[in-house]
Parts: sequence; structure tokens; C-alpha cells
Amino acid sequence: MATHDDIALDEEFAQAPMKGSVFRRLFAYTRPHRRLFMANLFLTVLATASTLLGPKLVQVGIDRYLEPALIAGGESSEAALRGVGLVSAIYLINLLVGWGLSVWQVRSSITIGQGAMNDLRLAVFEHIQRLSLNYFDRTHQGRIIARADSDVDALDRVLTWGASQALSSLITLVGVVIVLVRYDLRLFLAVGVVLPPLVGLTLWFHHRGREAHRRLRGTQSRITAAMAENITGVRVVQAFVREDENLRRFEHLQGEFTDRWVASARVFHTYMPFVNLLAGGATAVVLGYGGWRVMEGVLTVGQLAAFVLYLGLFFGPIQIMGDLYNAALSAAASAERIFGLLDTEPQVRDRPQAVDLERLEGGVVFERVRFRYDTTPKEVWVLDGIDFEVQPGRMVALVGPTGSGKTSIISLLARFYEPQDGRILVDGHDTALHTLGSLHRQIGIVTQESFLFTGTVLENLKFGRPEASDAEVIEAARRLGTHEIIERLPGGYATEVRERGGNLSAGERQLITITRAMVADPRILILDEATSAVDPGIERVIQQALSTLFQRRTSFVIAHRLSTVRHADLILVLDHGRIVERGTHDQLVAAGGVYAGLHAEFVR
Amino acid sequence: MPPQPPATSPDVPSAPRALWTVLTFLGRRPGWVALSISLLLVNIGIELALPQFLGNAITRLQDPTAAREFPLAWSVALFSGLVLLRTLVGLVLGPIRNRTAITTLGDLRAAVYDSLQRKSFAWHDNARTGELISRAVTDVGRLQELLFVCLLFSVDVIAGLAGTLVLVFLVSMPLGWIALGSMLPTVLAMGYFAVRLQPRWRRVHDRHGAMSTVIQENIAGVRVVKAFARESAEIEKFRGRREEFLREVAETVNYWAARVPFAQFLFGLGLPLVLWVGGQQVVRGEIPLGDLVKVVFYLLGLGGRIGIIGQITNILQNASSAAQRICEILQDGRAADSGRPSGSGPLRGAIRLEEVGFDYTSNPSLRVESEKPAAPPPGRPESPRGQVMALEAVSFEVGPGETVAIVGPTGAGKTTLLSLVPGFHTPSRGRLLIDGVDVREFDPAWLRRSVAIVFQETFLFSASVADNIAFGRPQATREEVERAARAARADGFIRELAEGYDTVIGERGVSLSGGQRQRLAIARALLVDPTIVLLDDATSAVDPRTEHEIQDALGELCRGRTTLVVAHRLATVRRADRIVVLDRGRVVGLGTHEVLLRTHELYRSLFGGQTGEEGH
Repeated sequence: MATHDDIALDEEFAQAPMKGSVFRRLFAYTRPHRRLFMANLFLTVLATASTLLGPKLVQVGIDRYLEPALIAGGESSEAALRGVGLVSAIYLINLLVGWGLSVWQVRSSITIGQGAMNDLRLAVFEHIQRLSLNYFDRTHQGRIIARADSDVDALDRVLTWGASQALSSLITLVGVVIVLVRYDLRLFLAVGVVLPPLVGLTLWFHHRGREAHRRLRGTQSRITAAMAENITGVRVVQAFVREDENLRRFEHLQGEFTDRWVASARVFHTYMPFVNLLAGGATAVVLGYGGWRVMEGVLTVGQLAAFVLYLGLFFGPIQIMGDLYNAALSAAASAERIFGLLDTEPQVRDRPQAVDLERLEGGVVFERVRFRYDTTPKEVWVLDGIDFEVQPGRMVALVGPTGSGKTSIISLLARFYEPQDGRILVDGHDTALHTLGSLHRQIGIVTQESFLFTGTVLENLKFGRPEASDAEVIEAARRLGTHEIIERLPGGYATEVRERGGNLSAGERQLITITRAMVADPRILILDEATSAVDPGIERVIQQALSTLFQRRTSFVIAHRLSTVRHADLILVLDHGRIVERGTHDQLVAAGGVYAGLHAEFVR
Repeated sequence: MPPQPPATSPDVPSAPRALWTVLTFLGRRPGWVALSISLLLVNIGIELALPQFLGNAITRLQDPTAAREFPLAWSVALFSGLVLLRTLVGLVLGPIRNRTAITTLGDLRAAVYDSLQRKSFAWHDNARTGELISRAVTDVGRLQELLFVCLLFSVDVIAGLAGTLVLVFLVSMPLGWIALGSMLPTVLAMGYFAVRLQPRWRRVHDRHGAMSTVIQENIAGVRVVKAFARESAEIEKFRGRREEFLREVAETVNYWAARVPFAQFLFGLGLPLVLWVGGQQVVRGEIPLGDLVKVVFYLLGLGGRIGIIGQITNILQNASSAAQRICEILQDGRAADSGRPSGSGPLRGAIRLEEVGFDYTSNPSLRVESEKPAAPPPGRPESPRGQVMALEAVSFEVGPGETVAIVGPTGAGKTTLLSLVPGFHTPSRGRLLIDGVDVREFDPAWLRRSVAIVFQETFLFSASVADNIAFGRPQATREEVERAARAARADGFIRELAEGYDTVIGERGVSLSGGQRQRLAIARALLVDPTIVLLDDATSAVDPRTEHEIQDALGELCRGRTTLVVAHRLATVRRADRIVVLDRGRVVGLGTHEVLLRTHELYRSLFGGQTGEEGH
């Protein structure tokens, strides 16, 4: 069974081959900043050149001024001092230029990178709003969130620094090679011996390091899970006095984790010393072979010194490029996932000629509706030939065992999905031919789970009609009889709702969602009756509020309570996607069929 | 550095103190720490020795006569030997340093784990679970960097800087002063800017978090969003958060870019100065050319270390807020330890409440940053809603073996009342006595072993069914577990699970229905064979057959034990010997079902309308 952590782990370590198309599409998001992007590359070239100039200045200072002065003795010292002053001054100017360049370079990189990332994030978010529920059914919620969140974050390295770091590394490598070859080709070739092992080592490290890191994260997620569970279940832990036992087990897990960590980190701890070994080896070659070349008179001492300094500039870019390559592989995987979402077409969307629905009376007709979800097996219909008609203002109760199709009927009515066959009409209009927005604005849904958003209670109440005034909201609550209970919350209407309404009781959440539906003032009301019983006092308020809410609206109720079913104008009894009985309570009890049996269970 | 304004409320430990507390965990492994540091010092020593060879070679090579006598081969051999030694030390040092840091981090994590599981209920009531998990996981993770920093980077930087300075001063006093003169302001500036940047980065993170929250809620509530046709409003909301985030990023980056490269520039100034002054010294013959080259190598070599200072301060900044949040967990809100070891014999189970008052505000908890004081509600400017005793002057008695039901509207204080019995909450006023002894006098662990609780919502752990039932008595045998399950009417469905009693359930395993979970909770309670049973009646509706089984299981649990039950259902109330009616924290009625039904208006309004029909 795939848990949330496993999913996160899979995605974090996924790599995709670097396809040009993915990166072209990704970097298209920097297009709004194209000028800045080009300027940034230009700045990068200049900044790199400025860095490369440093050792050259040291070499010139030694070879042109210091060395001659030492050999010639006293007479040329005046010129030498002036020369040294000149070199130092140029060095200083170069330093100033480099400073300015790096300020602008960093600033433009981040502006471009963050701008592109957040445009992409917005694109994902906007697209998510358009996607139909079928997408949300088959995709793990955490995965969808990751598309707009961690997947975009994973692009940071590549989008912000990728272009400039790649360019700067390349220029540095090429520049250093040119300078060194011009100093002494043979010495360069002798030093170049370390390059193949260095590149090989870097690639090996990135390959193995990733594997090691992946194994590690797997263990880490077990620790995280143990920690999280103990916090969530802390009341049970204390009630059963399990603290010592749990600590013992946690420490054991911790020990395992430490061993694995040290084992997997060995890759990194092998890499760095060997890189240092290669760098040191290269310097030893310069010292030995280069020293000999100086004695031969082929190389100057200034060049020898500069050779060592340039070697220092040479190792950085190779490591950066290995790292960048690795980041690009992960970014490609993230980008592919993001584009996969962006390329998903919403299943339900407005037809080209769709028009808004007028204000509805509330008549509903289902005509030979057949429906299955993407996820249902092919030979099964979730709804199989549903036919019924409801007059405006009537109340319909849907009754039947789990999986009989009650929820599917209301999802189709709200056009969260579209049927494969048949039509759904409101006031005689085919819903498929009208805009989704105009339908949804006239349908109110009160679901079991009572989902609330962070923000104040008042903001939540206005969710369906943000333009409603405070007075209207309070008036609606008064009419429903929920006003007193909302007032009694710690901040009344201004109470801050925590994530998912965590600071409110189930009953209070239900009351708020009912009031929210009332404020939206829909023509058709859908109610998935909550199964969790709340205490009797609040239950009565809920029932009262619901019956007020039902007045003068067409309503569909997935009923769990007998009292609700009894008052319905029409009861549809469902089984395996078909309507097996229909009628009023009295008719159905008298008929002695399925409903009568259910009723007998109820009153037992 | 100027004094920092206190960034957080006074009860939060200051950043330096918090960091120090974290670092003291390193003191638990003194041997490993010492070994890591000494190996690191050897490494730095080698590194500082290497430029000496290059400089000396240049001095000799520059002079054609001296060059002929220069034993180049020996110099190269020695140099190579040191390089090899550095590699070997590096290979040993890595794993050692790593083990030290990770073990220490493990100690810290265990301390957080333990501290959290021993916090009082009141503390947990006021903390958000999500935030606690994030602190315990993410923040401890951030401290990992801190431990590495302290073990490696800071020693590396300090030793590297100090060693370099000494060596440069040995070459020439003026060059030494130049090196010191460029180093000192750089280090100070780096530190200062990093400190100044911290609150800005924090705001950037907060904005990022706000953006993520919109995404998460939007996706979790997608049905509501669609049902109310709020898609475009949600996009606007997100767009707003994104703008705020980008603005914050831009401001922070501008600040950063204007200052941090300046510090690097300050340090860079050392080099032209050395070239200039040192060049003059060379020309005058005061120092050999090779010595000037050495100083250049040293200064350029330090460039990397100076860069690390920025990293260190960044990590310290990140870690110090993490450390503060962790220390907040480590320091306060520990459930009260009375010190009284335990009661003498087994409890009889007589409970007596004397004028008990309770008030949630008197219980300390985690500071919740985003919480604003509630504004006056609209349309009701002068609401006289003062806070709020959860319980006030509650007095009643429960005899040994008696069952008492507590009923009342939402918010009456029923669940709070239950939690006072095992000392999860402590009365703000009055006393709660068990067998005539104030609960505060008991050792909580001892008391709780005699009390079993069935919570309203059953929390099960990611473990096997058997482990979950044996949660309160891990040493119980399989027969005992099965006996408890049979008594709780849970044996039947457990045997139908794929692996019976060994089936893994909970968050990471098979999910069970509400009715099944509740029966497991009853089995779990039965297995500890408690004297007192506290029962918060579950509220999820179940089918009639399951309901009957649950009632049977409850009957089994309560038989012969003192039972305090928060009741929502008629069936539960009927089983009680007596009933306490609570309203807004006060006892407003006490008696049997029949008497209350006849005499008590609130009670009648609660249960009078409930015929046997609904939900049964």
C-alpha cells in the first residue's frame, strides 16, 4: 500500500532524461523576462571574465616588474615600484567591477527564476481550477498539491541559476584551458592527466550519491511517521501510560537510522577526499614538472604561480556542472509532471456555444441516464438507466445501500461529471449545453464532511456569495436559527477558523455549512446528510435549520435518518445503479417492498 | 553588533540560549567530538603547509644560481606525501564526523519525542497537531545542519583564519596587518548582514507558506470550490498571495544583493593591497618573491572560507529559529509530576468532585504565532462575552462500581470533566478526590494504570491489531488479547481480516469502520482491567446490528467498574445509575433518567424527543 511518504519519496528521486522539448517549454516561462535574461547572461560573461583576470594580473606583476627588478638589482627599482602600483590599481578596479557585476547578476537571476517559477505555479493553480472531479478522483491529493508546490520548488536551481552557472562554468573552463595552453602546452597536458578520473569520479558520485540518499530518505520517513503518530495519538499514549515503552522503541529505530545514515553517507565521504587528492596531485605535477620547465627557461616563475592559481579555478566548475546536471535531471522529472497536469484536459467543460442558465424554478428531469466513473470497470454501470422528474420546490430523498448510486446522481445533477448516455434537464434545459458557472451558482451543496477554509466564520459564510453584506449573512443565520450558536463561538462571526475547521465541533461545522448554503441562496439544494450524530441539542438546531433551508427550493437529500425520509415528496430507492422503488413514505411502506424492509430495520 | 530587538515573546528562549541548549547535546559524546575536531585540525594544518612548498620553490627558481642547488624532487615528494596524508585523514574523518552529528541529532530527536509525549493534555489542546509535527520533524532536521556546522565549518573557518593570519604575520608584519585589516571587517559585516537578513528570509518563508496553504485548501476542498462556482475567486486569492510572495522576495533580494557582495568586496581589497605593499617589499629586497606568492595563495585560499561565513550565519539563522521552537517544546508544559510515588493498594474507585472549577486559559501552551485576538464580531459590537470557565463549582460523587452519565449541550464541559479524573487537566479551583485522595497527590502514571479511557474518536496506531489491543499492556499474551477482543465483540471481524490479529491497521495500514474501531478501543480498555472507566460515547452512526454489538461490549466493559460516561444516546443514558446534567460548565440537574425526564426541562429537551427510533 503506497503511503503518502512513499509517494513523496518516489517523486523526489525521480529523474527524467533531459529532453529538449521539456526544457524549451520550461524556459519559455522566462520569456516575460527575456531582456533581463539576456542581460543576465551578458553580466555573467563579464563577471566570469573579471574572475579570470585576477591570476593573470599576479603573473604580469611578477614577470614584468618584480622578477626584472630582482635580477637587475637597484637601478630599475623605480620603474618596478610604479609597475607594481599600476598592477595593484588595475586589480582594485577589477575588484570594483566584479562587485557591481555580481550584485546585478544575483538580482536578475533571482528575479527571473522566481518570476518564472511563480508564473508556472499560477498556471498550475489556474488549471487545477478548471479540471473536473474525475481528475481528483483518480489522483492522490498529495500529488496534486505537489504539482503546484514542491515540483515547482524543485525547478528553483535550474530556472534561477541553471543558465548563468552553466555559462559561467563553461567560460571558466575554456578560459583557463586557453590561458594554461598558452603558458605551456606540455605542462597543461601533464596536468590534464587528472581530468578523466575527475570527471569519472564526479559522475560516479552523482549516480551513487543519489541512490544512497534515496535509501536514507526511506528510513527517515519511518522516523517521521513514528514521531507524527505519537503526537497525534498522544492522548492515548498518556491514557495507557505507554511513554517509557514508546521512547524505548523510538530510540531503537533511531539507532538503526544512524547506522544506515553513516553507511549511505560513505559515498560522499569518499568523493571529497579523492577530489582533493586529484587537485593536490595536479598541483604536485605543476610544482615538479613546472619547476623543471622553469629551470629549463620555458616557463617564467610568474606563470608557474598563475598556473597554480588557475588550477584552483578549474575544479570548481567541474563539480558545479556535475551538480547542475543532476539538478537538471530532477527538474526534468518535475517539469514533466507539471506539464502532464497542464496538458490534462478537463473532462467537463463549457461547450463552445454554451449560454448561461436563467434564474431557475428548480424543475429537474433525468432522462435514461447511464454513467460510470473513469475508475469503474468497463462492464459495470454505476447508474444504469435513471429516469425521474421532480417538480420545482419538491424534496427528493435518495435511499439505498452504499454504492447504489446516490452520490453519483447528485454529482451528475451538479455536473461534476457528465453521463455517458441520457440527459439531465433543469427547467427543461439540458445542463450540458449551458455554462457550468451559471449552474453551480444556483445549486447549493451541503456535504457530510463540512469543509471550511481558514479565515473567519463570516468569510466562510460568504463563500458562495462574496458580495453579500454582513447584515444579509446575519439575517440568513437568524432565519435558520443558527445565529445564536455562531454568536456563542469564541469570536462570534469573527472567529478564525483553523485548518479544516479544527477548532470547531462537528456540529458547529455542519451549522456553518448549512448557513453558507443559505447565504448563497441556491434554487436547487443538495444535502448529503451527515452520519455522525452530534449532541441532541445541536442536532435539533440542525434539523430546524435544514427545514428552513429546504423551503421553496428543490432539494435532493441522501438520507440517513428516518425523519428526513418521511417528509420527502418523493423517495427514490436505489440498488446497483437502478431505481427499484419510487413513491412517498406511506406508499412505499404500504407496498411492502425493499423500502418497507429498510424501515423495519430503522424502527427496531 | 547593535542590540537586537526581541523578535519574539518573552517566554520564548532567546536565540543564543536556544542554540546553546542544542549544542549541549554534543557534550554527550565528548570523545567523538574531540576526535572529529583533532582530525579536522590535522587536515587544516596540511592544507596550510602546502603553499609553503610552492612559495619556497618560486623563491629558489626565480634566482638561476639558487635554482641549480634546489632539491626539486624532494620538495615534490614531500608535497605529494602531504596530499596523500590529507586524503587518508579525510577518508577517516568523514564517517566519524557524520556519526557524531547524526547520533547527537538522534539524541535531540528522542528528547523532543519524549518531551512531547509527556506534555499535559491542556498543552496539546492548545497546540495544533500539524504544527507540532512540523516542529518535531522539520525543525529537528534543520538542526542537523547546525550540528554539522558546529562540528566542521566553524572549526574550519576559525582555525583556517587564525592559522593563515599567523603564517602571513611570519612572512611580514605589514602584510599581516593588511590581512587582519581586510579579514576583520569582512567577518563582522558578513555576520551583521546575515543577522539583519534573517527576519526578511523568515517573511519570505511565511509568504511561501501562505501560498502553499491556499493550494492545499483549494485542492482538499475542491468539491466545495466547484459547488459554489468559486474557481475564479480562488485564482484571484492565489494571485494575491503570489504577488505578496514575489514582492517580499524582491525586497529581500535587493537588500541581500546590496550588502553581502559588499562584504566580499571588502575582503577582496586585501589582495591589491598585498600586491602593492608586498611588491614594494620584494623590490626593496625585504622579503623574497616566493613569500609574496605564499601570501597571495593564502589570501585567495581564504576566499572560500569567507564565503562559508555567509553560509554559517545563514545556517545559524535558520537553525536559531528552529532551535527556539524546539526548546520551547523541550522546556515547558510538562505534565505535572507530583513526586508522590504511588498509592498503596489497588483503588476502590470512589470519585468525588468538590466545587471543581476549570479554565482553559490557566493552562500554558505553545505560542501560536498566527493567532490574532478575535476582533469584535460584525453587527454585534459590544458583546459581553467574557472568558469562560469551562467548569464552575461542579460537585458530585460516584460510588465504587456505579455508572454515572454526563449529559448536556455542546460546550457544556462534559469531555473536560472526564479529563480531570486521570489528571490530564488539573482543576483550577476545588478538588477532585479518588478514594478520598486529591488526584494531584497521586503519581499520574500509577493512577492512569487503574483508569481506562474510551475516547470519542478512536485513535489506532500503525501496528498490528494485537499490538493495538495490547497497547496499555504490551506484555499481554495472545490469549489475553483474544479474550479481551471476544469480550469487546471484536473477535469476529478481526478474524475476517486478511491476517487476523497480525493485520497492520492505522494510518499506514488497513482502515476499519467507525464501529470496528470503537470495539478495538473497548478491547484495549478491557485488557488493562481498570478500576475506573471513562467513556466518551462515540457519535458516528452505525448500522443497527453493530450498534447492538457495541452496546454489549460497553456493558462488558462497565460491569463492576466505576464508570463515568459522556452520553449522547438514549441507550447509553438508560444504562446509567444516575445522570448529571451539565450546562455551561455548571451542574444543573442530578438524578435518574425517569426522575429527570419528569422534572428537568433541559434534560427533557435533550432526551425527551428521542424516541428509540432515530439512529438505532
